[in-house]
Amino acid sequence: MNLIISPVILYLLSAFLIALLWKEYEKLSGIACLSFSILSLISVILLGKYVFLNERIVYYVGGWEIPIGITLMVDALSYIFLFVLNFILPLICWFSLSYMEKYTKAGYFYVLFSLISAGLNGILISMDFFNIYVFLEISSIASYILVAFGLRTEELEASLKYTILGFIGSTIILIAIGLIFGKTGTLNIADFTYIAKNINEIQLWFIIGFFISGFALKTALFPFHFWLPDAHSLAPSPVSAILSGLFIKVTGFYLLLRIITNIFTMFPESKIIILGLGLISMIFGSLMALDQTDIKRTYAYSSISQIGYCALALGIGGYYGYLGAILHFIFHSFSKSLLFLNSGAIEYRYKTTKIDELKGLQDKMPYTTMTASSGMLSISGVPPFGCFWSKIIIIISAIKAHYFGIAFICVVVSIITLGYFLKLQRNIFYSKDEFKTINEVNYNLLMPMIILSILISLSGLIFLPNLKIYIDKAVNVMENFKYAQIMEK
Amino acid sequence: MNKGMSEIVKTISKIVTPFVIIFGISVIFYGHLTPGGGFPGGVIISACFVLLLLAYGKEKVLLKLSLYKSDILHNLGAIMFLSVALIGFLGGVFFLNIFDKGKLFSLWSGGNLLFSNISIGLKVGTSLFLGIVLLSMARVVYKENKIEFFEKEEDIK
Repeated sequence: MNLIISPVILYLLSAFLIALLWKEYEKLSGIACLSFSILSLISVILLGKYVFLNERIVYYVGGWEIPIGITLMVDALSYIFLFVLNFILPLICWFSLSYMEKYTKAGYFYVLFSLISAGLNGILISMDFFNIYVFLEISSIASYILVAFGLRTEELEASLKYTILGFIGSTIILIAIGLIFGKTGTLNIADFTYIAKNINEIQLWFIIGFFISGFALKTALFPFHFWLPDAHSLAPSPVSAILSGLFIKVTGFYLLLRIITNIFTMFPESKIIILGLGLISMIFGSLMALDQTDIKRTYAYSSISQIGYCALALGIGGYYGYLGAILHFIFHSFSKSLLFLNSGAIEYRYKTTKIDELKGLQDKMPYTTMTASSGMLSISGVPPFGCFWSKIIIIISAIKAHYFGIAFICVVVSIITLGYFLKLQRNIFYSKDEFKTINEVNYNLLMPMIILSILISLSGLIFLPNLKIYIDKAVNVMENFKYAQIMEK
Repeated sequence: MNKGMSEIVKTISKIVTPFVIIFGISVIFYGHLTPGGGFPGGVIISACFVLLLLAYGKEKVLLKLSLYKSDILHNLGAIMFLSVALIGFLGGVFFLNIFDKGKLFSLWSGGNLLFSNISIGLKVGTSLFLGIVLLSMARVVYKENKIEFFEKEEDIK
């Protein structure tokens, strides 16, 4: 089953080949990166058949058995994350072909883009604590540099803040991994869960506490969120799309989800913590987004709010809770990537993202306006679009678990979300401005946005009923799968 | 010719350099048999170039190992390591050690470990050297909300 590792190989090959051969040629390096990312999408699609036929694929690197060597695993849950990740990355790469023209040394952008993608793919396939940490650091360090890619003062400041907090988060995770190794003598997740049954539970409290705080910092849940608005709003737009749409979900949310549902199943209390953090960041993010004067900053606070929804659904648990968490991850990834690419297209023409300086985009950039509207309506939960379905499932799950107050807060936050997006719509897109003459952006910038917006418009009605069996398998993994099962076979 | 440090330092570093490089290479090559390996060996080799950098100044060192060369070498090291891993596919599994294992405690006894140590040594040695040379070259100046890089001290102003 060598397909399982091919996305990591392809992206690493892309990074070092571009760095070796083509980094002086900006167009060529972009096309090379795009073709490698399309190859990795194809390999992930081919992998899908085996994952859903066999329930899960376990791969032994170098032929070494479990406690000795590195083990990789893909099951239905990580496959959904892999697919969404590898579907959005080529689109972002396509978008950057034109967008990165204004930067010097764009070849280095594609090197770092490939490295961040390799790291994110690696996190999703590995079944080893230290391997996860290594891939986490590969993608994190690439993202620290990418945030500062424009070399303006604000960007460097945001990158420094992000770097310091990111390293604090990574260090907390590393301490937890060290404690695991000291306690059990193994770093393999399956082996650890097998041994952890015999360990006194009190000794594991410290480990899960470190893990939750570290991954909450990476996910930007409420008390740990303050690096996110700066980093995500000042980075180049394709980078913001990766960071907000994919990075915080894979490095934070996916690992949090694995830790809580599959690895530390003996602590149901940890779900309450996630629920509380998710609830606070949901409310806080939406209230802060109301008051912003910059489009990308609004989107960044909106990310905090929406990742709160995901964490809330994870905390509520049960079939509907997990289903809502997965669906909200999928649709929010598509919508938020679309919105950040969209703000990039606006920035490409207007050279600014301040709300006061943008007016009347519906006449000048009609396709950009349409895609922005679909993304915004989707995130605020208006019926035919993607996030409506995930939000209503989260609300149903809250009602089924008798959290009536939380269900009410979900609805209110959704209305506030619609509020700040309508403010953007009225001020920027549907207003009058006769002074500036500005044309629609070119084909390379437009096509990724159109593909994403078609997907989120039709997904709820057409794709969701057909894909439900696959998503149900992922939910089944979250409900029933324990890593110790791999050892018992 | 008043660049770099005093004559004593220059002479001693000139004498020491070849031995340090040979020691680094032996640490890399016997990494699978003795303590050490690609990373420590690479650090030793790059430390030798840093010693020359301190003693003679950066112009003289860049004649020996230019930025362009070390840039190419460190990418080659990464690709070599990846291809060592990819060779395993010939036996069916990623990173499979398909080479002949040879006699115990001889140089050729680890299969692909030797190649991976060499490529790690190449990568670590040159990229550490690059990092330190770039630190010694760059003068960063904060001017009118913009950060600029200068290579020579005379250009700042």
